[in-house]
Amino acid sequence: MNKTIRQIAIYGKGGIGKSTLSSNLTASFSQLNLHPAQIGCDPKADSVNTLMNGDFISTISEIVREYGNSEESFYKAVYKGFNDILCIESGGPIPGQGCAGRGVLVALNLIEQYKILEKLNIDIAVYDVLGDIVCGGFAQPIRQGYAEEVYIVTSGEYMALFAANNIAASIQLFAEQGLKSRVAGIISNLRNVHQEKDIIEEFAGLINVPLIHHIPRSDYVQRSELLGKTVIEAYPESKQAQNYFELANKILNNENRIIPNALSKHKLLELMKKYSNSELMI
Amino acid sequence: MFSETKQSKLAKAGYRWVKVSELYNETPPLGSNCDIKDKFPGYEGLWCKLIMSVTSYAMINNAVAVIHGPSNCGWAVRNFTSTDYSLYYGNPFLYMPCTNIDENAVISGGNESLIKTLIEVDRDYNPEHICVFDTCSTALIADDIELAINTAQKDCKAKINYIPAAGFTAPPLGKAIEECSVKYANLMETPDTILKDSVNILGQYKENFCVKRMQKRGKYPDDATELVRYIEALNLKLHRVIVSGNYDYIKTAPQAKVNVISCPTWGFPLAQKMEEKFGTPYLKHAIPIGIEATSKWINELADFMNRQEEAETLIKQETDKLTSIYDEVKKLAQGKIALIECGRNSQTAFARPMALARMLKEIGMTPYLFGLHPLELKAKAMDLNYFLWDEFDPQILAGNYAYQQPININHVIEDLGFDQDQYVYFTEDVFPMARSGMLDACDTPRVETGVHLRRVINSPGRGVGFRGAQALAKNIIEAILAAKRGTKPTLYGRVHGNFWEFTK
Repeated sequence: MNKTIRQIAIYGKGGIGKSTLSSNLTASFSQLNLHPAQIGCDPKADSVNTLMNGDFISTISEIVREYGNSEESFYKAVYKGFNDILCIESGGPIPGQGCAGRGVLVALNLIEQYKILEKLNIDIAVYDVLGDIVCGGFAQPIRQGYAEEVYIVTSGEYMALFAANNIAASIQLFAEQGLKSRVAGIISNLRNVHQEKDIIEEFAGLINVPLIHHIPRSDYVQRSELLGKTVIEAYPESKQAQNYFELANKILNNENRIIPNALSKHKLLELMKKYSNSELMI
Repeated sequence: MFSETKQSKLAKAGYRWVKVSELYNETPPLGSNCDIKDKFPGYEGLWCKLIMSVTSYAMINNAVAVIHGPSNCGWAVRNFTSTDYSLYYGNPFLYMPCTNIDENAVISGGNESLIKTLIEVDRDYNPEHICVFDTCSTALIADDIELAINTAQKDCKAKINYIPAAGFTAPPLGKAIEECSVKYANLMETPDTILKDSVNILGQYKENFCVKRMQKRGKYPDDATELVRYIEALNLKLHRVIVSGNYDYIKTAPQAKVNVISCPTWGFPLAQKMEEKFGTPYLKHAIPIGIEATSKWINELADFMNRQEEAETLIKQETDKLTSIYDEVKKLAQGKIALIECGRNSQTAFARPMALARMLKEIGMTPYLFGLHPLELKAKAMDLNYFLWDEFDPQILAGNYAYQQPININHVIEDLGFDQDQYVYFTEDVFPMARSGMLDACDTPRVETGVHLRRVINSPGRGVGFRGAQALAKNIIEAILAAKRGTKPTLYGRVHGNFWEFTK
């Protein structure tokens, strides 16, 4: 019997730390006796480089463009990274040209067409998706049903929460239209904003989505990235690595699949104003 | 008309007869998508801007059109342009290579393919001029065409220009033509001197070489031949016919003293642009079909160039020749109803049916136009303004015009409710093989106004000028007499009349 491959998508505001989190998450999964895959859905194609010793890999867009579309050539875009993690980047155009969203859609279709995840015996796939989902192409992992389990990464900053709320609103809309994608939880990637945990917890409560874990800010992240590695690989004994392991375990045991109640812009602003009255951190 | 108790099929479907200006005013503006969707559900435009743009460029010699888009856009345009405009009208074939944009190029942007194609085209075809036409796919991903042209131009001998042609940017034909025709001003240069007594004809496809070749074949020359006859009779000189010629020919068009207009749809937008850019004045009369319209066209040019005496002589000479045939056609057609179909399948033709209606009114008929999609009328505001300025505002069939569904001619006849023998049906379509409306040609005379079916050799294609009026009059006489004979119709002899040829 074919096994079910668990597929999760990581969404959040651009620059919030989705790629760092995704890489450390797949690295953690690989240490927990799973065979994970990480699929970067971003034309920048920098999702998996900390799993690849800091190297940038050839993307599906580049390979298909150069060699044409065949299963044989497709494997030129499939890499083994740290601890045999399967690394793929959808790729896309240089900034200001072409249609990056279309690139993501084509890449995901090809992964499905050639049954890459099945053939390479993947247990869990993590889709690391570019920024917001205002572009239809970037919404493909959830719209096409590749990943029905969505995690939203946010900090306690207003714009990060604004993007998180937008993503929740999209998934709410998709659910109303009959799609199966659901929010499985919020992951907070802390930036040391004043009362940050309180803000995120309250936001999560208001949109009716569980907060899975707080990932603290840590210098180990920056240091390991400069080494071209994940924290799991470079500093496996660190407190930060333990946080990622903890998150990985929580995700593996998480069975929540929720249709969120996105906030109106007005409500979100009210929430932020409530916390802005507290003492300034200078 | 029908009594109140019995409604015609058209009336039940909400169709009614109004003045052209009323139809224009009641049609929602082109940008108001909500109103348009409410009133004309399913309307998506009836032509593709790309086809019209490339077709106009097909009249230029020693040039290559590069279609920046997927191969099927290229294929569609090639098929239309080469069959309709080259095989049917006898224009030279235009090379139309395509950048063959596929999914990968859409993802990465098509500029690289475009630059590569332009350099290859310059090397392999060695043309004087290359024009890039973009398509929906490359416009949707916002390829920077100008940037690609600037990059490629350094390595190309041919001058490269760009005409935006993405279909979705202008679904109605009139809008597409307006946006395309003004771009030819970008191929022109500011003149050092203005040539005395020189005249450009704008809104005309073919150049003299084409007309000459067609005359040699003894077939159907275009309107330019007839208009040039008048220009020369006024002791003036034809400078350029736009769009036609090669790049140098077009480049120097602003040297003319004045622009005159043949087709208003193509001519007026470019004339206005040339006036704005180079200060070239233009005259207001256009598409002169019939004695009165042709006389006005000639007199306006004569007044501008101070050639009143020549004009008077010319008009007298030509109208004298028409006296007997006009008497004959008036005797047969006076008081009859002229049913004028504005493009059988395309539902877009306006200027020519209007000009035809104007002439039919001149011979005592009452024109009724139908088969024009209201949005296509809305997109031809310049044409309409001209006819209203000339105080011509006939009746037209207003309705919702189901997408690409021709109006049934029998329903039109039923709706108007006159006696069967009161009608003369005027039909044409840009596609020569398009079927006209089905009706019994034994009872109702049918005049084919499409070029080759008119069967009057050496008369101008679209029927302009005195010769055009004479040919149309001949066609009408043939059709009415044929219907009167009451014998079974055959395609050529019975329906279309005998061949009839002008003496050169």
